[in-house]
Amino acid sequence: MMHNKDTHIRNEADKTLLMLDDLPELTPHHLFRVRVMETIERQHPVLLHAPVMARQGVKMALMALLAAVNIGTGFLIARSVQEKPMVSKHEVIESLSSEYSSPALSYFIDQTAIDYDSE
Amino acid sequence: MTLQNTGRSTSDEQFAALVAEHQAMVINTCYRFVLNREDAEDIAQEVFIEAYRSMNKFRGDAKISTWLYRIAVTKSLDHLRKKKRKKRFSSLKRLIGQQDPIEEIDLKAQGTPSEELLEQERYTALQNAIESLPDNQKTAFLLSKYDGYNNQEIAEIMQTSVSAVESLIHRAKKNLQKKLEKQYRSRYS
Repeated sequence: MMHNKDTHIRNEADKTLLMLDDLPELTPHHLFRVRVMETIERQHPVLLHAPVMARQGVKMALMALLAAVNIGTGFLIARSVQEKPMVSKHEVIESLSSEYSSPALSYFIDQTAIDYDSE
Repeated sequence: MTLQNTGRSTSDEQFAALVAEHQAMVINTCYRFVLNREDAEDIAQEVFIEAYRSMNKFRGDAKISTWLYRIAVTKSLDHLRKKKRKKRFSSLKRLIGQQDPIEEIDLKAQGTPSEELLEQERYTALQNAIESLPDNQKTAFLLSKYDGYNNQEIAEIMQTSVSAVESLIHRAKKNLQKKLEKQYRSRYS
């Protein structure tokens, strides 16, 4: 009796193990691949679109550089204008008269300077 | 097949082609571990998402299929561990009078209700016996039960030798037989 029971138990164990050999071969759901790609896109939009964003990033960087150069040039010009001191009207006249008042540059002979006695 | 980052649409297309080529193997590999179609497909999805995330880490020292199936085995084992923890928590809940819904294994409806019940009980006994195996015996044994793998491929997935795989399969069979007999003995005594 015990022997029959042992045999029965062993047979049940064997049958149970054989179930693994009879497992069906699953066919993937026809939307499996679509779902995978959708999940990836949802979780990693940066990764999927990285090359496109890289191109746009280059454009933005160039525009920023151009703006920086323009602004920098503008600051430099404004600074150089400020550094030159303002000259007064009196100083301008004085400088002009000292430059152009030599007798060599006069258009006419100074009559008062002629020696009438020599004639 | 090598994956290259040659541009957005090219790498997406390459990856989609990889999924199409290997989805059946990955799903069926996971199914051998979890014995549930829905769980197998969920795990398979995680496998491909992990593969996408780790593409740059793939050194090319193994076939891409081997690398994928290795991820499938890891994810399946993780799932079984989580399930075991959930079961322990469920038994605690049962102690305080709260029940979790019973997880049923996929079975083709065949025979009488009593035959179906017997079949369900056999699957439960099988699941319990498999879960009690160490991970390496479990992996070697379950992969050997799927026609898609020979011992050489199993050795590559497990990063071990063919003789080690054969030894693991032999030990797993002996242990499973012992555990199942113990379960049935306690049932029939």
